[in-house]
Amino acid sequence: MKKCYLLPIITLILLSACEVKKPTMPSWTVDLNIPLINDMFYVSDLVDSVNVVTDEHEVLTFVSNGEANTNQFGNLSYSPMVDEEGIPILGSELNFTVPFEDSAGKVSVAYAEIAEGIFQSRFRNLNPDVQQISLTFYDLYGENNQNLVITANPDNFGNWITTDLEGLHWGEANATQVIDELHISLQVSPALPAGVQAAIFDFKAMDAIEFGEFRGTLQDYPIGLEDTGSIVNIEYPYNLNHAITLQNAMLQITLTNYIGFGSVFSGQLEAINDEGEIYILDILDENGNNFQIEPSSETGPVTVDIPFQHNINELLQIMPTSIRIINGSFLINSGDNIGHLRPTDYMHLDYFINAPLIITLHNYDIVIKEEQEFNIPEENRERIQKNAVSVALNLDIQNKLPIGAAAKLFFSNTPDIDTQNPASYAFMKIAEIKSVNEDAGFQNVDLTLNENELNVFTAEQVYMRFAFSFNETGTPVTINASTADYIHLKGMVHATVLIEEEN
Amino acid sequence: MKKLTLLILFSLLLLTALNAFNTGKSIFFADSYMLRAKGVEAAYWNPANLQQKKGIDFWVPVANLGICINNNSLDLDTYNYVVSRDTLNEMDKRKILDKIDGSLRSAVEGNISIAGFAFDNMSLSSSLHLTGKLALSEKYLDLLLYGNTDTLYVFNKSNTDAGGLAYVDITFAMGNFTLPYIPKTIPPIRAGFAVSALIGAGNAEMEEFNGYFSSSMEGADLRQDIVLHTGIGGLGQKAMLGLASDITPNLEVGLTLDNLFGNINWAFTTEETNIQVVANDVYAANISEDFYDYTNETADIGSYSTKLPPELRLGALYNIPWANFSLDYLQGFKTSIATSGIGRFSLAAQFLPWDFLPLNIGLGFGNSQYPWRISYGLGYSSKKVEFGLGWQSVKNLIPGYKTKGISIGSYLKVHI
Repeated sequence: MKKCYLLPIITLILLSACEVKKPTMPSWTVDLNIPLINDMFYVSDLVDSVNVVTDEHEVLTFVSNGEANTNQFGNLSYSPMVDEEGIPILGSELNFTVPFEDSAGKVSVAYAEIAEGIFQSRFRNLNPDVQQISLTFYDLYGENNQNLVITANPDNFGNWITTDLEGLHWGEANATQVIDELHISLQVSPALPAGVQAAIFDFKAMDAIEFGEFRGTLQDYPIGLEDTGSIVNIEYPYNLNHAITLQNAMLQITLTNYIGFGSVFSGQLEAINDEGEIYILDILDENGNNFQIEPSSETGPVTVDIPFQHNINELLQIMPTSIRIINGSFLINSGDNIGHLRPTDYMHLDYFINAPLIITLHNYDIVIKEEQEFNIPEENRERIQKNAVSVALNLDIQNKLPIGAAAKLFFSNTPDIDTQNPASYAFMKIAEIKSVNEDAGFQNVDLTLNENELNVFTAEQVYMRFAFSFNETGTPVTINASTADYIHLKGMVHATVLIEEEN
Repeated sequence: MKKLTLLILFSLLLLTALNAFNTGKSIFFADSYMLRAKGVEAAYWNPANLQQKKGIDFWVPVANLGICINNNSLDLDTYNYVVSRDTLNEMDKRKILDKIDGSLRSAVEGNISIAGFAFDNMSLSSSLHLTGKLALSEKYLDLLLYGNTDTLYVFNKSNTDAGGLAYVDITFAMGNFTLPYIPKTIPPIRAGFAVSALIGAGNAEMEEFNGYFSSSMEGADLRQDIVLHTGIGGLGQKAMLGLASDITPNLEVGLTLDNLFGNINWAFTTEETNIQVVANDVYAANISEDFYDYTNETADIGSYSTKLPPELRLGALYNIPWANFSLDYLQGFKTSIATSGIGRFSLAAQFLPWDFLPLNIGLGFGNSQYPWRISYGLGYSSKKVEFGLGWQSVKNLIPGYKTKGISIGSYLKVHI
């Protein structure tokens, strides 16, 4: 039994002999699963109610507005080209008419305010007894609606008398008939016996007369459209115009006509793309006719809608970067209808471009020109170098859009990545997403970075270039912006991280 | 700092489920001590055996103590293995986790005598009791070693818990009463009782621990609710009844019912702390400084009680001239910070190559909350003085690399 002593003694020895090692922390790797994102990106979020809207069918639609004016009408030019000479004045009184019409046949006056103009009259071969001759123009009125009266006396007998017509008006304000001759009356003083020639009368109106406010008719009278410049400017980000073709668009011009004459609008739409290609389209209605513009009424302007939808597609095929109206003009042909205008009258055009996003997608590599440059802080570089073993980005993407695409990310530690030259980048990652028509559920995209690829991020500078391409659709697809049109993106980062003691 | 953290972690891992021991000397016998306790100690183990034939039995203050720290999973060998590795590979990680059965449970317990004496058939004593426990779900270590490879981690009070209790007892016991009306064909049965006034020093109890952590494509979610009750200053009581009988000249059997009316009422400074951390739908892409809600509210509350559920102990002691052997069975009625609801056996032997030099050995059989252990003790005994030193090895035959905890006990009594 004395051997029993040995047991506790041995125990003590064993316990005291236990080696307790110095605490040092080993390293190990852990797998971290970090939810990155879970968001739904709705197409409707693109709607800004200004340039991007939805139409009544919830189709995403790009819209653009613009406006232009014609020049103000200004003064209407009238060229009577009247030269009547040798009218004998017999006795003491003579009433006669002189034809007075626009030599070009474009303007017929019912009423006009004369802004500028003259005519000339002369009395010659005078009877010595004549002391004074008065001329009364019954169609021309002064300020107080008094007829224009010109008086000749011995001082100017034999000379041309020039009469300034500025400030006079021709005809009566509400006249409904055009005036094509001047009604003139002559009074000789003192009165001579009947049949005695008092004088010979000459009359000339060879210079153009400028009318202000005008009533009358206009025939074949053109009004040029001021150069509107580009009514539509389209910037396609990332050369997107090479990857899509718009299938449908509408250009509507709402014309507000302040001119009291109807007209026929003619002109062309000129579209130019970024390669200088030009497409010209006549502005015609569905039947191939020019658009008719109604005259404004006495009480206010008239508004006319001029829609272009039936053939605008032709113009969009070149994916224009700008569209403008060229050779625009309004041709007035009022016939016998009395119209009216003021020098300040003009036509106002409001443009409204409506392009529903109905597009055909083409497989074209779109390379983002701007190269991203990241500066990795030293601390993060060290952590990546020491602790990051591998990183994977796992994405579940539900694409509810009829667009499929492939995205490529190129990484390098040197700038000027050439996506066509593998030597210019360290590695490339590609993610492909099918359209809703190909896969309506969640699609998994796994982007894994191995240790070598992670090492790219241990340098101070990292450069990234992004490129993408759409999947060819062949036929047009419509981009809607309802609540069912979205991309649901769920992402999880899987990182294998080395845990170790910090020095 | 990480070294210190590692050291603290492993120190905590040496703690395990509670195995409340009543006196320091019981460590010598792996708690198979019910019928071995004599003098002052009988007040804590079986007051029926309070039977001083003459003189007074004194506890020397502080010298009667027991301290135990242990855990249910890890050992020094594992510690040395871990710290000696440069890198933990998959096999190493699995080796560590395989040692943990659901929870890493640890406990610390202390029992220190303040004063005590026994004379005739009664005793008066006082001792300080300290207990603390910590349970950490295996899932935490899984997260630490493997990362969040699963989508959902659930934590609750069954696998993660913490608590502490410190109190002083003042115990009066009387024993050696022979039960009347026992037929003469049956050996006499001794009876005794002990009543204790308990003075609570401090208490911390985790009332609620619920939480989960999930991470998936749907985002990361975290919720943790902790309700903690703390109390400083309390009063309570407990009682013990004991029976013992020498059914043969060599065989003694006994029974005790402890913790009767056991309760400490914390009433002086009591607080409830509610800690809540909530984070929902967290993504790295939209994370911000306030991605989670954290609240930590502490409020004064009314008094609350720490129950000490009753425990039934059965024991037998067989004596021969040069040795004695004992077998104890302990069955608690409910698990608490100081008791276990799962029964356990313990076995002990004392060898007496010389009367003055007892050699002790004990074996405590384990259960799901209580790891098995083996005890060794060496003492000196004379008519005037007794002292001894013992130790215990948890889940290993001898204290060593595989030990998952150790206990040290001592005693020093003087008989005048």
